Amino acid sequence: MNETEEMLKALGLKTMFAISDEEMPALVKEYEVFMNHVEVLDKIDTTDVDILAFPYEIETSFLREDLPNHVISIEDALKNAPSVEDHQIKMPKVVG
Amino acid sequence: MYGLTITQLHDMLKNKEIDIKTYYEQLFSDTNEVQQRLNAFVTITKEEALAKLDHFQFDENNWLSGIPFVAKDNYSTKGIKTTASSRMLEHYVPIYNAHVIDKLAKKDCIMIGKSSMDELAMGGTNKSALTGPVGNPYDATRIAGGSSGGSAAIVGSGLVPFALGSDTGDSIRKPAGYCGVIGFKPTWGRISRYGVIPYASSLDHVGAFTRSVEDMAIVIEAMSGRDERDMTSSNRPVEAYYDHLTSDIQDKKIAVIQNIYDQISNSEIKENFDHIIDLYKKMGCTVDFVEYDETLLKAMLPTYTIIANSEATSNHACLDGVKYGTRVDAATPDEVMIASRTNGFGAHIKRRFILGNLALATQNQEKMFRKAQRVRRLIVEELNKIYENYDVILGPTAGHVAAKIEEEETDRLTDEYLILENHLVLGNFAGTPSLTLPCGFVDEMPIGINIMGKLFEEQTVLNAAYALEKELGLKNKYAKGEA
Repeated sequence: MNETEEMLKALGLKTMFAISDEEMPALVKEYEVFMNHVEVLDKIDTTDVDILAFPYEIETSFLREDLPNHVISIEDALKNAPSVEDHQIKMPKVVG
Repeated sequence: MYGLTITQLHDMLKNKEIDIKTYYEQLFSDTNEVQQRLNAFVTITKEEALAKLDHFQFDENNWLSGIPFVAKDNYSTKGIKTTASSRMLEHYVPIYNAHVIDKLAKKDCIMIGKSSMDELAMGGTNKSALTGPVGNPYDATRIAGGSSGGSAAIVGSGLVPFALGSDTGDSIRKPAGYCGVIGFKPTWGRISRYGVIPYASSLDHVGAFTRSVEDMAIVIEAMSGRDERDMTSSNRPVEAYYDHLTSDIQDKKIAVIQNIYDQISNSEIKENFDHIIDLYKKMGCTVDFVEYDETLLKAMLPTYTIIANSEATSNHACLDGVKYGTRVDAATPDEVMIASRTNGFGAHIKRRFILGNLALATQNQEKMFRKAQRVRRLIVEELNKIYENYDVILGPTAGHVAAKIEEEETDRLTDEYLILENHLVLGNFAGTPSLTLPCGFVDEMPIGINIMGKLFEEQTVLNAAYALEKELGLKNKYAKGEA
């Protein structure tokens, strides 16, 4: 495994994925295209250019009143959890 | 009963030419036929739809009363599976409706199913759907396009008058062009996105597919408006798009971006495009070719890829098999999440998330993610210069017809691909309303033209499309396949 593959494997784990050896060539290829994109942008002068995080200035500039609305029940909140016990999501133990 | 538009079906119900229960019985029989041919549905909601008919009362003053529709499978639907065509959400059943679903229900629309899409809306072919590729209604061996391929194909088959889609880069407008239907994403903020599974929030739009501009005006009007649960939705009043439809577009100023036009290599598509320019001129419009900074045009895909992947990896960090999602058991909480995510997503999704994470990493964020956001501003400013002098921008939807399903992906670094096949993303960067209209056929496959207007000027876009639709005579075209 070369340096790029090792970096991508580690980045995969940080993104919560175990990348298999079979998946690695396609990931390396995509990474090369991605880095080509980064290079293209690198050549564009953005000195004194602010970021544009949304298409235009969004209108909502206030916070709504802190009143409960659209409340969901505990049962509903847990409906899609794969494992539930006593109204709580069940996961493997962290400590023994 | 293929090929009914909203207005046609409404009039038939109003004039009692058709019994609604009989119509829906036939519709579900046709639905099975379409599904067999195109594989465009993830879920068919026959039981829920027929239950609604039990209490249904037709309202002749409401165009949408009793009208069937299909929602892309990333619209949350209470009690109905919403998978976003991903293994991770294969069994996910939302406990609430997307705002748009509620709005359409209040209008007495009846949802007949959820449509297939590229996994988590990331893709342009619909080949990454968990349920397999979707066929094009004009040739089932070709792609429907993506990511809203199922919705485009279903409307293009003539089954229902409208369907819902979402569009982050061109995911409504490209498949609309490939399937010979109208696809419209109004201004970012015009329609609430609450309850639509996100891809990249600063680029995500919701919209629809129809087979007539009149129908599109009706549907978009019903979907639009402020929603307190989506802070990015606009307070601006919703216009009466349908009532204000007019084909009198004299004196409108239309721009064609020269460098995009120059990339059209298919002579028939170019000829068709030139013909449309002539038609607009005959209607009294001014059509001018304008230049757009070529470096910025070539930066569209790089900017999009970096922003979209970064926002996507952040948005979908919650898909871990803990609170919801398909879980794979393992020894520790971390291992559960890693195993669930590794098993739950397709290979291309994992690649996009990993590269998005690369751009967001502290050491890379300024050079990659922030840089892309700065270039985005330059791209939008360059576009807005055109809007200082023009009402709409006209462009080809794609440089070719829908590819064969088995065809390999094209080279993503050629000028033709970077510019011609990606320019629709300008509408996502800037949030401007953008509509694709069927404009002809090449090799017996449909092609589309794109009309993009100024922010919140949906009416101008609809009118430009309405006028062209009349000239072209391609209203309500569909392909239902061999009987």
